[in-house]
Amino acid sequence: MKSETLSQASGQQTQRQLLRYGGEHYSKIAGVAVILLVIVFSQISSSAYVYDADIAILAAIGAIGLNLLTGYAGLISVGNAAFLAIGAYSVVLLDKSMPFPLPIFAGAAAASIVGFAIGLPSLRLSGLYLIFSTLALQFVVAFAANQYDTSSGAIAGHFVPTAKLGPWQIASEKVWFMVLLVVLVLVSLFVWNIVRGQPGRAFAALRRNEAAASVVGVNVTMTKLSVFALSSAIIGLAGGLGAYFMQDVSNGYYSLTLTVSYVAMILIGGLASIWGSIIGAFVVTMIPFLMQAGASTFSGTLGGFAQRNLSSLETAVYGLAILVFLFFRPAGIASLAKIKRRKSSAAEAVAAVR
Amino acid sequence: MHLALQTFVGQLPTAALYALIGVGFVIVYRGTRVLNFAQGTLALLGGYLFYSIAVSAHVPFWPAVVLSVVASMLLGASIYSLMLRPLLGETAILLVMLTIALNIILGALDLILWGGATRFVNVPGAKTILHFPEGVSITALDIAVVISVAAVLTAFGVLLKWSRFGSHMRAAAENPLLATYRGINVSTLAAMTWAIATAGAGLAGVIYGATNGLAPSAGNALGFAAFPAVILGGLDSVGGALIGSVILAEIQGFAVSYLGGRYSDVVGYLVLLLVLIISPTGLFGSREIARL
Amino acid sequence: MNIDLRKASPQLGGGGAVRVKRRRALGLTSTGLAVAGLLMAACGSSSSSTGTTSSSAVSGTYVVGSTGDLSGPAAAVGGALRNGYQAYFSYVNDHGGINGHKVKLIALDDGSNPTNGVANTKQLTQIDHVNAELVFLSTVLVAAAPVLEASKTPTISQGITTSLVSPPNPYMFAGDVVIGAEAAPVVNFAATVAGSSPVKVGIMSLQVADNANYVAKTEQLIKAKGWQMVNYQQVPMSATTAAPESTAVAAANPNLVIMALPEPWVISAVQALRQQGFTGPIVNYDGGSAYSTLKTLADPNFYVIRAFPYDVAGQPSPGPEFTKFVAAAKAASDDPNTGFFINGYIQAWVLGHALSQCGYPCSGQKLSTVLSSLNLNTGGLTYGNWSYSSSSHVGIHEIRFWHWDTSLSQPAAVSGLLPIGS
Repeated sequence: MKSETLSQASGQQTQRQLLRYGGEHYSKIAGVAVILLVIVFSQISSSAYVYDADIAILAAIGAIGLNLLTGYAGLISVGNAAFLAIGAYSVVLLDKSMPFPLPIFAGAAAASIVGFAIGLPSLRLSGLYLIFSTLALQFVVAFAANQYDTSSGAIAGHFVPTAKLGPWQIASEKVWFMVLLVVLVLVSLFVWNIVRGQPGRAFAALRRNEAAASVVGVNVTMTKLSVFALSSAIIGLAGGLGAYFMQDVSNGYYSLTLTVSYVAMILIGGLASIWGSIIGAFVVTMIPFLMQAGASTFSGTLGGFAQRNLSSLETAVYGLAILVFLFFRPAGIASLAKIKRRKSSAAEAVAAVR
Repeated sequence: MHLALQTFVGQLPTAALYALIGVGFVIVYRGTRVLNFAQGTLALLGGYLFYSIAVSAHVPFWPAVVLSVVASMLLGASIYSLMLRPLLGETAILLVMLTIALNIILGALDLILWGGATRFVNVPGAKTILHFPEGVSITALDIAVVISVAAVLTAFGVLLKWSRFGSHMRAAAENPLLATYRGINVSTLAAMTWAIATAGAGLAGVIYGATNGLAPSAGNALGFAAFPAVILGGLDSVGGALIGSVILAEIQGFAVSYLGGRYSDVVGYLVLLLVLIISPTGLFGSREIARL
Repeated sequence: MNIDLRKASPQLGGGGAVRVKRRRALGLTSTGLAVAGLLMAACGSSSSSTGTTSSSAVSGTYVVGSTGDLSGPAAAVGGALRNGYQAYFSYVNDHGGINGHKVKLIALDDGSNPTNGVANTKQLTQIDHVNAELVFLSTVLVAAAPVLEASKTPTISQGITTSLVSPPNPYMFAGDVVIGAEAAPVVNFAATVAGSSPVKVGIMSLQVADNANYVAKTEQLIKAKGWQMVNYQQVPMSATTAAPESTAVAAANPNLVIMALPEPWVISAVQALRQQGFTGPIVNYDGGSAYSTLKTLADPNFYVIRAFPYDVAGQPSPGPEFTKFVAAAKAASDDPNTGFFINGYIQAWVLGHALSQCGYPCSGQKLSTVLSSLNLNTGGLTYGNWSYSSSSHVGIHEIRFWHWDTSLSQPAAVSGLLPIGS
């Protein structure tokens, strides 16, 4: 197939194909190298840093799920906190009756079904309506979770016992790191396979122009519904993992703030890019540390002001970071890093966004 | 019967707040196709500006109201000119995210500048309680709020319907390109739309501060509570936003009185879901808003 | 005005997000960036991060961590507590430290959410290795207690539930009266201000763990007195106003209202009750006893229980520590009457004295032993001694009732010292 393309193509195209081939190769090698380096890093470094990395990886898994929907298919949802909650509460409900990974899968399935149901009325309408229906989902799930917490006497949240995979306990930061990394790699590969294949082309067509997509034979409603269900499932999976990792599930955690932080991740990292999702997750998770470091460099009145308002300043900087990326780098950090040499999906996102 | 009447009357000022915020949301959407997630926080900011002008700077009540509403107006115009205009024509997600980022920044600013403590503004009439038959009571302030909001919105309706500004606004909303050919400065018009919407929100903030007290978390409360009212009325209908506000405020009030406080939000959003399922254009929205 | 704008748990730009609100020294930041760099460019070395020390290892300082609401619905209270901790620690740091060692406060934000509180506590205990932790909300404490106990971290908490102090958990200490224990004095005091029988009681309470105990006990005591409970409303923390709940309470025609509402909810609740014609006495718990609450309401028929004095003129000799407290507050440019500021100061004060007795370095186990037998004359910060024992981890034993004196325009005590148990 490849040689056929090569022989038929003009010189310039050949060049691009070669680059593309080389780019993919480079990407694979880079991926493997990163994973190896990261594993080495995780096992030799202090558990403090690994704990932070765990949180960032957890966020990255959810961000990939959201990027599939928003970045690749161009659909805006503000329901990701609700899907995280569905994953987490599935774990709370099912942990006693099923062994470790199963409640997470059940949570992913539940999130996917809810995603399908909530998508039905809005996905046949203009894109804006998904914002409203997912906003409604957020309020309904928050209410249901609050009712459940109150009626089960768990105002302080539900305790989730340590995850056990057969004889192994998943308790320490380092063990969690390996587990989360495996999930991140699997989810990345899964999404990568989807977006570079036929469904990916359908998503891209959808994102560019829905009417045109339907003309070329894309079943618009079904494609939207399935990508929404799939994205919800991945976010639900992240929610279930998070429940086991944090060991406490409470309704207030799954707020619109959480939703917005995921949207910020994919915007800052880069739309329609798996690497972008991961980078964005790390950047957003690290903002508080950067702020702390920044605040501690000041002393006197300014230092006192910074310490006293650190929480608000963090929030403000985080909002400003989104603004800066909206104005100056709509393709996110992934486009800066030039990870992919060919016309990358991130660059396509620019085209889509512009 | 007493509880029902008291709830109905007691919710009218809430409906007035929803209406002020919702109408602004609708005209911004009509005029610039932006879903403004920062509308509630802009309202709260108007309240805080009023607090600083009236309480900290000791400006008398009425001049303080006027000053803070004018300040909100300028804020709205500058948000449009500095932040939105350069990005206009971008996809919906970018514009929505822009208003969300704005919302985050303004919320943090509130907390830094005015602190977490609830700020109160003493307003004449707040403690004058008027009693009606069936044991219904309402403060003089609440009555003044309902009447003045009704007056402001009626005046705005008249302006929209019969003034040159209003006809230009409608023309620009229907077809910006055509409006440009007709010699309408669409960009100035959009800035004015933002100014009016933000001024309305600011007035809502002043009222909220006088009746409930200002706390940083109230910004989103105001914005997200008014959302379902707008959808119920129809996303691009000014009159719809008005009627939607009254219906929604009453539904929420009865839910709280008869079911409990925690039902308030969820009832609003269940109404929103129902509207999406049954009739996505709401009560008075135009057909085109639902189409792709 | 019967408004029911509610913030609901979801909120933009507040509370905790996935950006778990934790902070640490520069070393970690660089490492964090190193990780990001690694993932980004598939190159870079982690060597820059090895050998950096975390803040706790900075030699010669005591490290105290705190988790409280700095950005969520109870940010006013959480911020005041934090400022109170910082005011005390700044004061001791400026006066030679504790046993010659300075105290470093790491104040984290949980947005009133237990899941964030647990994450913060893991961070503080396992990574910053704090000597002790200060907690605001009982809901957060209950969720974080297993982590605190496992890491042997003594904790003084503003909010605490009866189950954690009787029998006492070795590492949990109350930083105020236990809310459940306030029910008896509140009902007894209410009996002195309630009018003619039959007494019909309406109850309003914020929906958090320890308030539920208070309400349950209040209900029992009301029944024992032969009073009638006509309405009970729980106000969710997500509400920005308690006015709609007040409408339901007022409609039930009570002649006494017992509350467990702090600011901001207490304000809208009382105003709405009065607006709807309720003129009877309202008795609130100590969480709703902020100076600003009394001042804003200026309602002489609104009473609060309180374990600490206010900074008001004409008090009997306030005591040397109270004078120091006022000075420390002024030094930090804080108003000593800010609600919960004094609570934060006192909790840090108690912890500081325990650290002083514990010596340096001070292990969690040793600090817990010191705290369990601590008996301090608070020099006017509280009405009696602050003392913990092996059978009770509640330090405060006496309270007073206050209301707003309209002729003096300041809070005034309306009862003598009353005992309070755990």
